[in-house]
Amino acid sequence: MKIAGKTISPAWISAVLLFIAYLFSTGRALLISCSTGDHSMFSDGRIIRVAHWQLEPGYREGLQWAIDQYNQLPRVREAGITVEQIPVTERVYPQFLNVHLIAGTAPDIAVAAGSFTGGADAARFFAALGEFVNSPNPYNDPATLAAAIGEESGIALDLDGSLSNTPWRSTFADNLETGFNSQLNDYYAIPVSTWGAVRIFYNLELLATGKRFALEAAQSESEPQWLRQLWQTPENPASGFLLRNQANLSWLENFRQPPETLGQLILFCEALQAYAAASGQSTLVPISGSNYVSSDMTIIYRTPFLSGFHEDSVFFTGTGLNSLEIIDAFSRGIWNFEKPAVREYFKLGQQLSSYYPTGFLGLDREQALRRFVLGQAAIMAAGGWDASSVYAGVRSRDNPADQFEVAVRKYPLPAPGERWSEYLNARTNEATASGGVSFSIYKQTKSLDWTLDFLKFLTAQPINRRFNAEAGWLPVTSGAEPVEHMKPFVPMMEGIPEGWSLRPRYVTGALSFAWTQNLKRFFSGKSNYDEMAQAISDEFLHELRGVFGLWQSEFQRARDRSRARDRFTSIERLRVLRTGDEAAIDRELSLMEATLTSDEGVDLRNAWSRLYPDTPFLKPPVAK
Amino acid sequence: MPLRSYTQLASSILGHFRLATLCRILPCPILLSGLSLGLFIPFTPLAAEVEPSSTEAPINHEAPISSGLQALLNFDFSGAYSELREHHENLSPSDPLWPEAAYAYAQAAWHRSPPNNNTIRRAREVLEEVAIQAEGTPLGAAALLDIGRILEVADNRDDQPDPEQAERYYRRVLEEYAGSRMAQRAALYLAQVKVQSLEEARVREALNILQQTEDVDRFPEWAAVMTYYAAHLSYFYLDDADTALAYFERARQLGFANQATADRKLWQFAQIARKTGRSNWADKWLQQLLNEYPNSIYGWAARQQLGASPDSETLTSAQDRP
Repeated sequence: MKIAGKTISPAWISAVLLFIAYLFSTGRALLISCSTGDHSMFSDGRIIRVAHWQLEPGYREGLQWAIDQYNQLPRVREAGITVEQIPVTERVYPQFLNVHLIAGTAPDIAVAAGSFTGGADAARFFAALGEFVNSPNPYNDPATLAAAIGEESGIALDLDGSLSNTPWRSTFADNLETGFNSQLNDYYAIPVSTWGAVRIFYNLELLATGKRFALEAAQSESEPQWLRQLWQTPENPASGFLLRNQANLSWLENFRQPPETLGQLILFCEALQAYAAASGQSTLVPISGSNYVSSDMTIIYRTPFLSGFHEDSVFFTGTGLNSLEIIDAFSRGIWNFEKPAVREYFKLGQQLSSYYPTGFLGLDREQALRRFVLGQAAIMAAGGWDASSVYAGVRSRDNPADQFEVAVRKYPLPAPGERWSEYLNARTNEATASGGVSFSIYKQTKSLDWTLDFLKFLTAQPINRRFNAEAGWLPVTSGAEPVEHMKPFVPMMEGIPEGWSLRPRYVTGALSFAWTQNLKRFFSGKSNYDEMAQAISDEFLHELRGVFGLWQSEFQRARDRSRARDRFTSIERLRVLRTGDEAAIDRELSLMEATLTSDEGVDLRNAWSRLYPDTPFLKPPVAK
Repeated sequence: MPLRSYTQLASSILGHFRLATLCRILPCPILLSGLSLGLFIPFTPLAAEVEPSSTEAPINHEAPISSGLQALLNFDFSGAYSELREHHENLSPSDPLWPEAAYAYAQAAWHRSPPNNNTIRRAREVLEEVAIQAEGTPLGAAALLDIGRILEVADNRDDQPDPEQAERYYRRVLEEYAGSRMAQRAALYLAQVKVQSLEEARVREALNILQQTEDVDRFPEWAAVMTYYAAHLSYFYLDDADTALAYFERARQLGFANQATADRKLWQFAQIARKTGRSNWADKWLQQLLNEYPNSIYGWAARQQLGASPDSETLTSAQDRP
């Protein structure tokens, strides 16, 4: 190769390129090493690293805004403190954190995830925050915050001062329940956002298209078969979904109005499906379903349908349902697949999943989102955490003509008299959709004071409001008003507790597999109801792997939990003996209370003795 | 495959690179690695410099014991065991460090994973020594309670529990340390060993122990735990709703040990009260639930039961406009 008249060997070019790459990577490694190490080549500064996996559009930018504000505080600059975020993809985040926790190099602040978040591991790796959360957050005091950030920051400091003297714990919308570890009876995390509940997104362009098509069909002299079968009539009382009345016909005329009832939702889905077939758009579907739980609309309706067996199934009055109670109740005939509520739930699920794309079980969260954003689905169910992705995705369509308006609504319930109205007469409580992105403080951090200070800053009312507005999330601090487009995602604290529903979780592998796989096969049309019911029943009642096996494994787990509680109790008692630590006394009392009522699985043995008085514990009951 | 074949293969993949060229640039990475080492070594902190040990210098136990205790408080049982084992064994019981070091060592030996019968046996021996050396102190009482617990439960498949002997240790604390917090703890352990039998007479014995030991004036927090436990036993083990509800009301007044679960307890006993026809109790507790825990997951159900109209808009309205 000739350059400027001189012949240069390609080998030398390779060597030069290699050397440049080397210099770059060495320089970068050196910079990182110097800035995060104990000794700094360039400044006396200390870096507080904040790790999380929220890579949704806007979240990093929102958090960075708050970090920049904090880094600019005069007292922070004087102390040479710099906060940095480390966003890590969700797929590798648990491994990333596990490795660094074990190696002693974990970020100062991190969303706890992976293997070391429960039980003793939480206490081993993360700082207990109980002693800090009962005093007020100084940044909630208008004078303190104004003095700290100065007027030039441009942050609206419309703090009314009502939180000035409120304990930090009580300034969270969920009273900091998200950060509370009931096993350790202490606070181990500080949420900085609210997850937001699952809501239904509508593409208003496709909504209008589908409704126009349905209206034309309804006004034609001879209604097409797809429409006729939807109306509840005296001849069709069991299989119709809604009445052919003025209210429903008027609704069809308002093209931009999303479904108000479950019957209207089904009517719209059928109309769009018929429209897609008529116009040859094979990729257009009514609902963008996938294997991602939040996008499965069937699940939204599960609790109201399947919570009616709760009172008869629990072993102890007034508790939620656990998996053993659910499957044991099945073995005792309290519920089965012949019960109308169960059968009807699966019928609704089958109906809704027939509007999902073919092969939806092979699609993931991203694919569901993409389909909706590309205008290939009219409806998508998603949580508040995905809202910014939806809005950003729609806005970023290259061709402005492809952009569309989005409406967000709660899931519709049937109107009185509509099909399933006798089962769906209340919503599900969404309390679990509260505090999100809960940051824990690494126990070995060298800057506990500053990490706490940063979290207090981040959760001060005006900062939390602005940060979440920038991120496109819901704030977590009481009184912090969410931005307009996020208001529909505020969780409803009214409704049936999710824990009353038939939802076997954390069961042995065989039972879990039997439940989830057979449900998936049914909803994807690969098996019929009877086949699904038979397959699940066979497994639930299997001599070894079934309910009897579950009693054994739950008993073993109860004993393991007792051992774990013994460890916690010993350490808390040691703390009490050494220092008389008040918080440790509270934790020990709480552990003792839990130990007493369930120690060594005594509660399970007690339940067994009442359910099967003639059968020794863990001997298979004789079939009656 | 000989080394030369690999080189030829690599050469053919690289296409226009001749073998000779490749050989010329091969030293580059080696050179660069050497450079890296040269650059980084000055910035790498050295391991703590260790003074040459003198054979005459006394062994300092304080630092490793403190480090072992810290590991234990961080729930690192294996780390604590390694640190404490050697230094505890070399300490004299007359050393002021001994009681705490011995107790901590026993905890680490008992709880380290996986459970090992030899170390658990050693833990018990050390705790026996602590109970003697620290007799009359809370540490001595704690050692007796721990021995009771070790005897009471099976730590692994080969470990045979001995609840009767465990009871003797708990009773010792109850009697020898009467009027102390350790006696409160002992009463709870003793009661729950008896309940493990599921026999009515033994459950009633447990209730008697709780009643006799409870000291609301001096130890209200322990009294609250005992009273709540008594409510639980009365209903779920003896089917005695009246006694259970009376105990629960008392526990409620004393305050629950775990505030995070207070709403669940109020809901649970309100349901028991309703089920057994004591709706006045139920209404009172449901009202407290609504007043003090407005975001409880039981709020809606409590309102339904109280006949208060829940927010019908959020529950049953077909349309909820944002």
